[in-house]
Amino acid sequence: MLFKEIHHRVKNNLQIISSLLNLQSRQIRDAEAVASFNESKNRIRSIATLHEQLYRSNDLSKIDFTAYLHNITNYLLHSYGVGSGYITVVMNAERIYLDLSTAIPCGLIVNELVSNAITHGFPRGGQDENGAGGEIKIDFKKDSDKYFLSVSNNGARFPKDLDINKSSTLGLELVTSLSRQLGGKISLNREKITEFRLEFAI
Amino acid sequence: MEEIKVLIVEDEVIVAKDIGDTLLSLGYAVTGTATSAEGAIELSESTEPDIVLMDIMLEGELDGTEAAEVIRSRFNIPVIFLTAYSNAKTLQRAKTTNPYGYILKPYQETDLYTTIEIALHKHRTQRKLIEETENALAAIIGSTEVFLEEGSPGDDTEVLRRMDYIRNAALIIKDTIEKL
Repeated sequence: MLFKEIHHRVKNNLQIISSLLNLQSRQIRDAEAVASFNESKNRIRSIATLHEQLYRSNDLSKIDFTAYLHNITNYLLHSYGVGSGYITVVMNAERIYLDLSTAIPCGLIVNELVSNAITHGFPRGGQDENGAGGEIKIDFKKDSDKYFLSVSNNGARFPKDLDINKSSTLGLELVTSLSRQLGGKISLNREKITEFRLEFAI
Repeated sequence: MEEIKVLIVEDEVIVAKDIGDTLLSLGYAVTGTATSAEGAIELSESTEPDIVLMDIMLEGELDGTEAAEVIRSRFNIPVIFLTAYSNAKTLQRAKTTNPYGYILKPYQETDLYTTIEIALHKHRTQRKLIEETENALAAIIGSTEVFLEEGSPGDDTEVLRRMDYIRNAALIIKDTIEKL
């Protein structure tokens, strides 16, 4: 009961931080700066959601990461103003439970990759150059000793010359550093689609 | 169009200010911010909002569902719950106060807008239907009372005219009930 209460408290505090960012961002006119605030808000939200899930669940040691993936992707689509029917999210995830110290970096990585897919893959809200609707695919599975996460999209290609390990955007920097924190390996496939793959040990 | 006045009930003042700014940007007016159930009841009376946005978890004697019950029954102001996930028991309690809407935090601006608009529409429609029913009932009661007090007017056409009047009033009530 006590731990539950703590997660509730943490979530409320994150909500306050999120409100503070909202209040500040309303006083900003510069569109790029507003976008940065929104990205920060989404990151906080992705952590708050984990605490909320823990607060709601009976097992405080494990997070249903599949439910989390659904939760966070819906939120991000909503947050970037993607109407239903434009970008389809295909989720292919086993029911996998993670502890909080794995779920936070992993959740932030998903947050960045899905945000990237929405904003860079589909800058025009999900209609790709052939006129067909956009698709973001998320796979999450595990074998005996590893987890495999893949986030891909069929939208605009990732720039060929961009090295994800030397990226200047905070989003990609977070992805590569958090992958390292998880002791995992991140790779990018940019042949027919844009696909980020992460594998890390259980 | 007349400005719609909203009362915010939220015990975290920073979150309340954020909600207030969002409401202003959506074109609503904010009549005040209460941080407790007791304050919510007071401000509902003194500032006469059109609608109340109520957090369920509040510090103090009463919680949001209890405040909503008082505000609904005493002032007939519609209440929308704007609250973080709560357990099944709280949700059940929220339901018994007949809320006009339920928004989960963290909310999106569009949720706020659509829920408020639907709630206000529902409230206005209900109020109109209740008024119509009350008027029709008064007509029925009035006409039958005249009958009982004065007896039959002795003229069949007049009796039929009055009967027709009563039936029409009853039909209005039947119609209203079907609309509810």
